[in-house]
Amino acid sequence: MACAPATIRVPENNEMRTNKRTPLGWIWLFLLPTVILYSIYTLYPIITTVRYSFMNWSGFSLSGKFVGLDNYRELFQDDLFWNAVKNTFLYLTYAVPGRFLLSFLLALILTAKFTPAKAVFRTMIFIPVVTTGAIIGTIMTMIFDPGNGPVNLILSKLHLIDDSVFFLGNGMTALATSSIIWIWKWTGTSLIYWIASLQSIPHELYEAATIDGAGVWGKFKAITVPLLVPYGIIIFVLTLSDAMKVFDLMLTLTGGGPFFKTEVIELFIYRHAFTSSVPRVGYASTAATIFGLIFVAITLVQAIWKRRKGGR
Amino acid sequence: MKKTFVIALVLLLACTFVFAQGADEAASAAKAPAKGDKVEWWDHFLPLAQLHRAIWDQSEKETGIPVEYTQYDPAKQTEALMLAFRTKSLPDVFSQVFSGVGIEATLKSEGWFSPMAVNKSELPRIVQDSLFEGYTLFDGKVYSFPTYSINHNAPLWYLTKYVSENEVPRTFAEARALGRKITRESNKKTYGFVVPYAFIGRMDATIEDMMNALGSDGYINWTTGEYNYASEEIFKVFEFFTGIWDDGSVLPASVNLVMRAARERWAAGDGAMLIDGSWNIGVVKSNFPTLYNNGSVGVTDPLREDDSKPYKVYKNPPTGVFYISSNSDNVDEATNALLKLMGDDYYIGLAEAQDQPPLDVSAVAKASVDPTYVEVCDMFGRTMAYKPSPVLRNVEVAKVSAEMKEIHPTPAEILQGYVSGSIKDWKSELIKYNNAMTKERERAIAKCQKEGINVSMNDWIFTNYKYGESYLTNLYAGSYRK
Repeated sequence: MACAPATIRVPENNEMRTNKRTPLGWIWLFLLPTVILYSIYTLYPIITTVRYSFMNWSGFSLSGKFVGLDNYRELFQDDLFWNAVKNTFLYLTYAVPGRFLLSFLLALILTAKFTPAKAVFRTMIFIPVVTTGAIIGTIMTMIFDPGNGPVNLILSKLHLIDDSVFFLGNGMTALATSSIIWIWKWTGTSLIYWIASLQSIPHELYEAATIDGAGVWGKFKAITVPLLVPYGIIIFVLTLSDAMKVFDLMLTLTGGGPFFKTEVIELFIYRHAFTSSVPRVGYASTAATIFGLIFVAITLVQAIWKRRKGGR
Repeated sequence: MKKTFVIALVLLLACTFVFAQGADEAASAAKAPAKGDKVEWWDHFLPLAQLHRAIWDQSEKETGIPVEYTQYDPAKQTEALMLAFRTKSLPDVFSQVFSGVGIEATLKSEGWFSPMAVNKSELPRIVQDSLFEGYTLFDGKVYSFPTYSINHNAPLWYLTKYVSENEVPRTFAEARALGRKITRESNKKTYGFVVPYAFIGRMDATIEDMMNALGSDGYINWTTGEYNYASEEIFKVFEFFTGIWDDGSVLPASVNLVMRAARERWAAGDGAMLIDGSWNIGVVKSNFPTLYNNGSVGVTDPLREDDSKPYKVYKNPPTGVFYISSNSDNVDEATNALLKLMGDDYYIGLAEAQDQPPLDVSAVAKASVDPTYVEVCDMFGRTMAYKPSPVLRNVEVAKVSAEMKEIHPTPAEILQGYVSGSIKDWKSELIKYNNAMTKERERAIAKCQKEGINVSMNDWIFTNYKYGESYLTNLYAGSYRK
């Protein structure tokens, strides 16, 4: 006897509202505090910054004068703005992969069976994370001091350099050195993420692979890497987001110098908004808006590329 | 569902703006001082806090109103004041930390200040003579007053451990030779110089002071009104600063040092010589008492090419130090506290803090101070003069300064660029800067004229100016080029 196919009834939109089992209202209720706070402390400042970007405003008056696109025209011709953009992308190029890969490597070592005193090492790596960035900036200027700093002394003793090098004071090395210090400070955070990710991989998979004759490299390639990809994407995005918050460290390390070589976009904005002899809050807002749009554009390109790749 | 979502979103955004606006008002209301409650006082004069405390305690005894003091780092105070102004929560009294030509006039026009509750004629003579319309007087009302007399940043301080009395350099050549000798003989344990190359504002001012000492008008040629950023004198100053760097006589860390850090390194013996203002000895006293008590510090005139010629270092007439804010409800009490900064006791106290010289320089002789402080104040008295001020002659010039965009790199930035290896040809950069500043001033003047502001290039030309003489108030009349 043939069975009649089951009829699936698709509920109409209106029925969602009246369906007592749908918790939509409750979802919004619980989300409301977050959404309100997000709106006040993130959305509102963004909208206000965009508004200020159309104004000529020194910050000495209560409000600015609307000047249309004048600030934008000036900004696009400002060599120091493009220098700040270039510095920021260069810094991200050094810092993000550096922290990502170093923390992954350390996580592999600290989750391996052969590693002793794991907790001690994890704590030591995490200590810089909880230290204030401004203090680290001050201490690091002494550590990298070309005269008496330990870095130069060690490199000199190892005969790796003949004369002392001022890593933070040389235009060629200052940005890379600042990136290394940032990586050292924040690796502990990514380390925790990676350790949690590694610990989420079922042991049975490794046991099965061992029984099948897989070696260390084989297990790493066939089990560890594929299962870590989703976590890796999230850790990468978080690392990128963290890397943008380098203001306090860079300000105390180099102040944007020498000669604007480490002036990232945050310092450019800060200089124009507060420390210039005639502050320009409107112009600083323009720089913030443009840089924000650059990042939105990059994100959109990534999203479109990902969607196209997923569609094939 | 879509309609509901849109309505909810609109309501949410409306709530957001209402909350945000309310948060602003709440913050302002919370911070606005109640009348008669207290006098809020913000300044950046850490060395003077103790001296001021005694004055505030005296003021509190007389008025019953305490003074609540907050000390700021100068860079942080500019930020704090700008934010406070926007939320109408400026302190009752604040020290003027903003730089820029005619900044006082700009701040006054934007509504930052309240006039003091006192007439000019009620003030001591020495204070009355130091008040200028557009700086401390506006429409004849007293808004502030100077507490310091003019001074500059270019005295050469040295550690007597490394520089004996007969070695004290007076010229660029002598200083360079001494710097090389100290660096070589100590095997780079002590360098000849510490230079705060990263302290851009100060270095720009020091470069100009040293140009004056060479016989130049400074950054502006007052006879022609043209900029001097590509003049022989600035080239000679640059040859000195780049020369000592190329000699290897400068502490390498100087590239990234600001003034406080440079002074610390110098006091620790990392460098023998430091160019700094009169306050250097005051900071040495408070922060490096061993150095101070041993009498290990000496000071001499700014370095020049030829020390046999007399020189003058020029500054604008002194501006106000403390201003009463426009949102103060305690103007009378604030005025009462400020009036105490005008007596002999205060000037002697200022001298004893060994910061900038007091307005009444005769107080230095009555104060218990280090001999180097007496020497440097005497140096200022002999070798300083007032320079012409375009703003004092025509207050509208402040609008041109406000309109002018900053040009980078400035001379000090060019110098830092050279020592950090980013610039090879500093002379070309200075010439470029000179041309860019000229063009920018012309643009700003044209824009201001278009808005009906009465300014012209003539405002920077003073036909009766002469190097070596002080440009006094009576010279302003008849000084325009016909």
